[in-house]
Amino acid sequence: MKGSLFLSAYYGDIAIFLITAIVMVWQKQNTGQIKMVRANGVSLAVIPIIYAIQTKQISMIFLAVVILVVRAGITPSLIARAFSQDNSTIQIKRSVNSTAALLAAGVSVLVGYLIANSTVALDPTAVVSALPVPFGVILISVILLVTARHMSNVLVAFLLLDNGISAVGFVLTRGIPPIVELGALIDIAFLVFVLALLAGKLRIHIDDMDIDKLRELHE
Amino acid sequence: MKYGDLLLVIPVLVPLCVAGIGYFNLGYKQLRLLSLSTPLALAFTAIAARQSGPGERFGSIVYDDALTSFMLMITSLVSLVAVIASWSYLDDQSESKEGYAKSNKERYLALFQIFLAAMSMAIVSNNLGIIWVSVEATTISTAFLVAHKGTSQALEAAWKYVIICSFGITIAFLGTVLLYFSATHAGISAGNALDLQYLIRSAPKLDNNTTRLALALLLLGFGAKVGLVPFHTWIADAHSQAPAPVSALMSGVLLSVAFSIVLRLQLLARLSIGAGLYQKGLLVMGLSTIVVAALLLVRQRDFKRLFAYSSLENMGLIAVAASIGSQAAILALLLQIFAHGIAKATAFISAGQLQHRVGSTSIGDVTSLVRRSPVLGAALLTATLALLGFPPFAIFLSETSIAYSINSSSETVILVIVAIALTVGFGSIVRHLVSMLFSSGASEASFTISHLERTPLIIGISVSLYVGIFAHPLLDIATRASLLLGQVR
Repeated sequence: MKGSLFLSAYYGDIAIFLITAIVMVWQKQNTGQIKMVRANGVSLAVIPIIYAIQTKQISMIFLAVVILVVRAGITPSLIARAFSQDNSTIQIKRSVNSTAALLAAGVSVLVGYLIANSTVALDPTAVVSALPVPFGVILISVILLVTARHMSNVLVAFLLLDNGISAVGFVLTRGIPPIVELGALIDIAFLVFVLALLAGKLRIHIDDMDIDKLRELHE
Repeated sequence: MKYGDLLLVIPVLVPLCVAGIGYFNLGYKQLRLLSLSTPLALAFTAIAARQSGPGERFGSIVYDDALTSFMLMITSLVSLVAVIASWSYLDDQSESKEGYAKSNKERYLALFQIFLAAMSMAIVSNNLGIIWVSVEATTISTAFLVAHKGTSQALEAAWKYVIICSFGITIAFLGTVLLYFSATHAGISAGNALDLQYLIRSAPKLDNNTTRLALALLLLGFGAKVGLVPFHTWIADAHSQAPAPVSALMSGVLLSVAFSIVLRLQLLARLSIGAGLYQKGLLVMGLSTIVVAALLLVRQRDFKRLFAYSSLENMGLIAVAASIGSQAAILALLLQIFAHGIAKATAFISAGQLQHRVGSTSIGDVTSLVRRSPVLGAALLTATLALLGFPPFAIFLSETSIAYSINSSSETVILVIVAIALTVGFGSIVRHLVSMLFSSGASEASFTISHLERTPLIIGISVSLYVGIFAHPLLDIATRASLLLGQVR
């Protein structure tokens, strides 16, 4: 792949990665958020594919397939399954309204740019200059996490957070060592599984999946 | 493959084999007995590693030095106490819960072993990525253990525990990725860029803003697992709802294992970006934790939460000692880790047995304990006195040494804040303990505890006393660890 074509594909994919994260903030239903986190996972998996085409490294393709299966397939499906039993279109509950959340997402991208500056300065190549995007996505996921009021939204925010961190790894170093990446993938899959299971059991006890209802242990 | 290479794999492989073989091929009784092999394997490794000397093994994936042996030793002792206490906990479950599935007991024992394997992996691992995976694995395995009772409170505690710890650990993952980038950018090969010992040896090359950001995130992330402010809220929920042996293991070892990673990173920080940022961060987090814990101890009405907040206070004190960074302070905090670990495990197991008898964890529901059950009352009293730092217990020595180290570094304001917070915490615990042990109340019915229930309490108290009176064997290994990690001033 030629240098300019590689960069166009790379920047295009990074842009999709950011847009899917921002659209998640705007979503009103959990099914929409799950679709977006799938799309985010796909755009993450495309980054190593672009690298693989450029550098002709087959191992990158393998990594991309694993990411695709876990981050865009298994884990979002687990969330969808855990929260689709009685109501497949759960309205997203947040402690702030969508406009405020979108505004906060915009600020997150700016803050991401500021945080990434010193790291980009270490290696000011065209690839590394995209670093503010994954940093912005990480901060957006933190906003989703702290404003979430429904258990499914928490899980989706966790997935986005993990996608953002993996993207930092790909942008900076073309991926961390495979053993660590695979370990992280297994961990996130297990984590979502555990949380989905706990959410299911909690629903039996408190008849709801609203985080505000978890007040029994409040001091 | 060398003998030393195999040695450090033992504490990971043995519990994994016990969990796998025991769960799928053996019955509850065999698995119960087999679960004793993990503390023994940990003890064997701790002793053998101490004799074999420091070194990287298994292609630098694992590493043993004095801190590794020290952490394996405390894990071995606390896990021995917790495994034996688990037997009586599971026996009690079958008596109190009708239809309590036998498979649930096996699942508990298997998860307990996986938890021990993950902790051991975090102790012996030299690769920052694998350390991260291991610490996250401890969260996943303990989530089911915290929720084991299946009540809505237990599930709520498990949910909050997983969310807060996983969020913290995910932040640490971002720190790991950034450190990896900083290392590769400094010319360190990809294969060595997460090798902690290699990074420590190459530390001067890593002096840049990305390393600063990475280490700040790693401190915040692993600090969440230690329970330091602002991620302290999971401690009381998880410890109060988990079965007592699990609380014992979490409070006695898990927090310390996470802190041992913070200590190793402190050495990397000091040699790369200088002592300033990391140690100041640790100091702020430690001081805030002590103050928050002291305030929460005052208004506590639940005895399991009381011990949980006491753990928080201890971890805060340990963080403050680490922020001083001198060899004397590191030695004192290692002693504190050991003495607190075994005494807190004993206190939690006593509390669990008390909860089973009284049917509540409310301090107000427990009265005249010394009259109603002299053995349990004595155990709870002794463990709490050990935690409060009464002589001859080792916490007296370690807390005095920490105070001396803070004073030596001319940090008078810090010493005053720590002293006030510890005094408030001390007063609150004494007040609640006196109320539980000596005050008279509506229920005066006496109860006894079985020999099996007494065994972990006797072991815990004996070890606490032994370490307090004959500190020499422990001091030797703790001194060697402190020489590796602390600054000689």
